[in-house]
Amino acid sequence: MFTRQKRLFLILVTLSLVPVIAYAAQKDAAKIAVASNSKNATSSISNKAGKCPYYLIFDGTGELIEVVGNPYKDAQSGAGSQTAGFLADKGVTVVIAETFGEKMIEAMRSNSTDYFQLRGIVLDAVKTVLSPGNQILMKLDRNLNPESYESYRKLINIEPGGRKREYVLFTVKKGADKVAALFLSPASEKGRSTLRLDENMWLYIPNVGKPVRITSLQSVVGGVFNNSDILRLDYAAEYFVEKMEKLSDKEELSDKYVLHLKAKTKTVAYDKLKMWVDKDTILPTRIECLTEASMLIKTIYYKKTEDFGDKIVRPSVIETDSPLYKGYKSVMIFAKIKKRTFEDEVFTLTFMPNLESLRQ
Amino acid sequence: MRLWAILAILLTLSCGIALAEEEYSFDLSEIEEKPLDIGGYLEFRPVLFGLDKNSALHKLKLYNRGKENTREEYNFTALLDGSYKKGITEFHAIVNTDFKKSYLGWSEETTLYEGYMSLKPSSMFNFNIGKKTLKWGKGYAWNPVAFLDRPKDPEDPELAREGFVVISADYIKSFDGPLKTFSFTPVLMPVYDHINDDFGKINSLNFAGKMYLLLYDTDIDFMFLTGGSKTNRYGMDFSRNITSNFEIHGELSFINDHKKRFINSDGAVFNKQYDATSYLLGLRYLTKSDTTYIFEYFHDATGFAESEMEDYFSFIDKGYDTYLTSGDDSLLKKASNVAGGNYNRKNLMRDYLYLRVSQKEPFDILYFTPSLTGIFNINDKSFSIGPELLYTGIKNLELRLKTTFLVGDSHTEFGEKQNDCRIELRVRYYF
Repeated sequence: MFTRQKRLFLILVTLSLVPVIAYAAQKDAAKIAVASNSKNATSSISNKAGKCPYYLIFDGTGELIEVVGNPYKDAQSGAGSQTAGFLADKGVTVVIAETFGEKMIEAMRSNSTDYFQLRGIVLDAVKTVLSPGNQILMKLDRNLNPESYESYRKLINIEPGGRKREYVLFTVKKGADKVAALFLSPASEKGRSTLRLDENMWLYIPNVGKPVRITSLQSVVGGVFNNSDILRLDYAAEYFVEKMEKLSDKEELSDKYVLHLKAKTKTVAYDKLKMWVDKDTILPTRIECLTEASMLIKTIYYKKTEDFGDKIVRPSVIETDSPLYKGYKSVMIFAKIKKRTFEDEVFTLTFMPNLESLRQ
Repeated sequence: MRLWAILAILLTLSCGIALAEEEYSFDLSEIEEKPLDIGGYLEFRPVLFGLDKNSALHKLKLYNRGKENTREEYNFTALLDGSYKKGITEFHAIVNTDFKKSYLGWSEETTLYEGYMSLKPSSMFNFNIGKKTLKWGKGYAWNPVAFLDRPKDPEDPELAREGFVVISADYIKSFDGPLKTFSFTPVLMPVYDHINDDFGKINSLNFAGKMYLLLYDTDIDFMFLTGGSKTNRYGMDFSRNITSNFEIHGELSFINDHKKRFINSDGAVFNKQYDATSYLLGLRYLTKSDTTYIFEYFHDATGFAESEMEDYFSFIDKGYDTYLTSGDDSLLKKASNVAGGNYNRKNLMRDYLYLRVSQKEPFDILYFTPSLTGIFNINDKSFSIGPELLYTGIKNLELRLKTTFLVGDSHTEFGEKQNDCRIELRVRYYF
């Protein structure tokens, strides 16, 4: 007979193994190609993804399985997209290089190939990508929301004097790179919508009457919220885990993972994130958003875990404060998160004025 | 005095609204989908004009009026925006009512901006019939490819909200690969007595279309208009983010057999027909400190040459002199009537620069956006410049204070406008 404490201990151990099991399950599937300046795994990563001389291909256990010369290293044009196609044909699922051209990134996204911009030694980069930290991050994304879903959110800006400003949004998301949000209130913002398709972002304002392409850093509402709060993609789509903090003996008993995330590209809103993840639920509890120089931009707190049904159990409230907006606080409350599939056509500029028709 | 009293009442009311806000809650009734939805805004917009009594357009329009230095205008607007949904069908209407008190007394005008029915059987296809705006083009201040829209005012581009009666559809298709989106929008536009009769020649059924591509992360449109109410025209536009804070856009339009009517300094009216190629290039740039720059260059081949404008202004001067000496205003009326339609556009000439600089929330003042807008006529070196303050910190209330100064020598576009400056306050309450 197990005592109650033993049962609880076993449950906790099993839960803490979830990311490790997930990691092991993905090992066989992963095939990692690293742009390299030589055929040696201890050489440096090439800074030209499209025109590097070699690609070293590793399996999901980190073992070098193939060295291939890049047939497009001397191409006059289109090297990036052709190299991406060449690697996809070889079954590569992840590409690592120091820098990628825009067209190569685009081609890899089309092929559903993940990519990481890393510097240093080839073998070290492979270890980073295969680290449990990155596997935890992918699991965390799926725990936060299904891959394709709809939800309602209320954003509240709270000013130092206690005055509040509220916005209600309807959000739809599909896959790693498609998300759209429609403002339902207040009346002054009603009908306004934003669409993000990969790196492209548009804003539709009913008074203007047509969607306008905006720079992704432009804020679509006033106040502490920015676009990345409103149109957030999966964390693993924009960041990779550079380091998972090594815990001291005492901290081993801690119930949190501490992940240090780095933005995959310069276009991501924050250069770095420091993320505290609950070991049991693999859900974030706190995230610090940092600049390249580790200056704190804002802190996000995930609170009040709630069962939304259909196995979606996640925090229902996100609070944000920022040293840049002293005394201000912003709160995001989630409701009606629901798995739902959408046609790709929903995430197009032409469809933007019709987003309201998706509400059921 | 009355103006200040009304302002004080509005500000008091708005503070009351802010203080009366309820404690936060996320009541699911807030997100309930309702078949009938009505919103809109109420607006009060007093304007003070500083008149330029020596300008050609003052002489043309106000020659027989008083000789005051300033003029006031009070505008009250109610805009109702309603929709009704049932299944895949939606009815949508926007009605605007303006009350204006100016030197001409009180006037009222109610306009149906939009009123159409939509069928939305799937996310790939929708069909619309009724009065609707199409808003083609990527330019912020000007849109040479907006073949089916009313011209917009570069100083306030959001004002052109009245559409035309059309039958249109959207077909959308998404793809993987460099071409991510394809959509096609065919449009039928009837122009007959009482239907779109201000668009062009009547008794024509016009056909237009727009093809949209999202190709290599670039928005690209190709459009055309044919059918007889206007001469055939074709165009394209594009928009693309170069970096995450830098966007470029452009438009190009070809108008076959454009007919231009102009007047010489003796009052003789001429017609000229030629193929006109107009284009626009622009950018939007956002700095780290949240300053947005919108810059555009516009070449309008349908515009007047500098010499043609000089002739027009000279003829007005001649007509005004005749009026002063003999009381005969026939020449002024001729200038107004014969060539009026052509000379009534917001920007008359050929080459312009537009710059708008806006700063989001300076000095950490939330919801406050000051901006500066300038339009420069490259041909005659005249320009307008307008500082603007926008505050949206009170729920559903928008306060905008805008000033515009028009600067230019004699016989230049902005130098000959009837105002030297204009100051306007816009108080808009959304419901």
